[in-house]
Amino acid sequence: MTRCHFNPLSELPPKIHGWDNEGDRTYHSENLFDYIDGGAELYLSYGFKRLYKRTYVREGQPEIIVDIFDMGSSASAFGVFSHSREEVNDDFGQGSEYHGGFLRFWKNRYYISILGTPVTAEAEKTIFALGRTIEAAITEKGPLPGIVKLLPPSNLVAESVRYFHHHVWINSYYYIADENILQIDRNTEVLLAEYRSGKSNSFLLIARYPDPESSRSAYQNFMKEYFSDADREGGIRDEKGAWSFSRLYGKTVVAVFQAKTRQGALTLLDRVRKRINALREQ
Amino acid sequence: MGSQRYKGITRREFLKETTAAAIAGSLYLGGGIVAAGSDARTAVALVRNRDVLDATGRPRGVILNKMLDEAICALTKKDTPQAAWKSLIRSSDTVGIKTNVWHYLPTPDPLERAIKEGVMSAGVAESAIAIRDRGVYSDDRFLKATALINVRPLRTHHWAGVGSLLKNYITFVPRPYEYHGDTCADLASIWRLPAVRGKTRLNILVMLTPLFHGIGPHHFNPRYVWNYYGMLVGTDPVAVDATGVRILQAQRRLFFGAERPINPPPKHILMADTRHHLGTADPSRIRLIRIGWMKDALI
Repeated sequence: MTRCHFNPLSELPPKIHGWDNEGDRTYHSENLFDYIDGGAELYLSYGFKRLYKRTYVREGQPEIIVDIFDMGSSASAFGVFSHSREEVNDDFGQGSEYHGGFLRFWKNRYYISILGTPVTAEAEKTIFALGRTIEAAITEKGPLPGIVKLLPPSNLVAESVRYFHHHVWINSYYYIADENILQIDRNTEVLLAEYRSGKSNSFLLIARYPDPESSRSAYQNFMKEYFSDADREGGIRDEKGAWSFSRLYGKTVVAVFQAKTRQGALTLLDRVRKRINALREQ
Repeated sequence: MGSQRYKGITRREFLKETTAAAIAGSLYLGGGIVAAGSDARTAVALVRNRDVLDATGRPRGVILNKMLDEAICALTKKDTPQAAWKSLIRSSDTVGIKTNVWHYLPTPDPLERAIKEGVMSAGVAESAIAIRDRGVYSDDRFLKATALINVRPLRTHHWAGVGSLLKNYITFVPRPYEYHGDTCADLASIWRLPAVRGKTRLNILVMLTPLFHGIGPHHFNPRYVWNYYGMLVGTDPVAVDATGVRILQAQRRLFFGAERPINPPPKHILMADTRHHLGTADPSRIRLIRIGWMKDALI
């Protein structure tokens, strides 16, 4: 399934466990709105290429909708998958999640959603069988976004990692702003992750820009809009007394939010700086 | 659009005592803001009934009817449902009931019937009542309507933050994606279109089984709905939506065990107040009327 101009629906059976193929549809960036309207914006923000959809129907059972998104790159497929994941497992593809009749996973440049609700035992069995078929048809794995290597592993909540190119997703865990104060666009790679130590947690944001001019401009605006009342070391406290800091390291803006102590925030920033330097030397 | 450019609300703004920041704080974080208020506050009725769902989770029509009656009587301060409906709808009105057919969480049929019966109790002929969701922008009955009733379930939404009463009028435009800019911030501008402007007499936000979190292209998983057994009813769609969002935020906090803001933030509700002046999203200007069972009301 990594060939160009390849329709992955051709790998699926016309009948399975009593379900019949009711029909196939293909969507591209111009008509994805016809299918999922507002939901299209999420996929478009990740560089969506094409969606292959099939619906299976069976009397007395829920319809099963298979959506295979060609996201153009494995980084984008990972990004869409990571957007809302709550757990880490690799039961399917390179990462998957299943709850109540909804299986989703990613492999190579594809993000796959299989939904059958309200779920039955037979529907669940069929959803898993379809997942296995698709997983096997995508023969090769794809690389994770390189920026993921900048995340310090200690205390990282693995399932919390989010990867995106659109500013609205910076608020996934901790409301920061409803405007694009970090000047994020489709050429910016952004990571958001939670770090947990004991009962306290903090959030790390890493934004990598295409060039130092872009990162400097973004950092200056971020400091003006969010850190305007920072102390001498650039720290601010939020309404709960937790600390936030931000730093500019070359093309990368790094910020820590909701750290219990200022030292904790500064330590996490420094760990990222060391990883940036180490990767630069490789 | 307002005359002043919107400069955005950062978390830092929440610490400052501006109205916009206070409203944003309540919408984006569900913060409980308590203010003395006055009698001029906008009324929103929250009605809940523990028996409204049957054992399979389907709504019971009789109970829904009773809840609706209680809510509109409280809102209009009338003694009977018929008097309440007559204070909202004229017998000469042509009425469009703007519903919502989203597959996973539609407006319940029994509620649509209850609304229709209520409108008829005000003297409106059955032939002068239309119920529809998609395609209303080209439906003669809706284009000729002199009164609208807006009803839909509350849920989170991929791009607007929430599927709200404000957003429910998106089907009055032929190209909804034209309103997607800035995460649907200006949905309230639809309410200025001739087919809609000034016609909405009642807004009903169905809170029987709200969706408080969405994943995947269909944005639905039964894991993220909960039985709330309620409805929010009011004449100000912004106030009703804002109240619903606070309940969703509270449920998200309970479920995830931590602050987990609705994302994208439901900016269109804030903008409906601060930019489009369609109603109020400010909790200090909303008078919540509580009716019925209030355990775990989350507000």
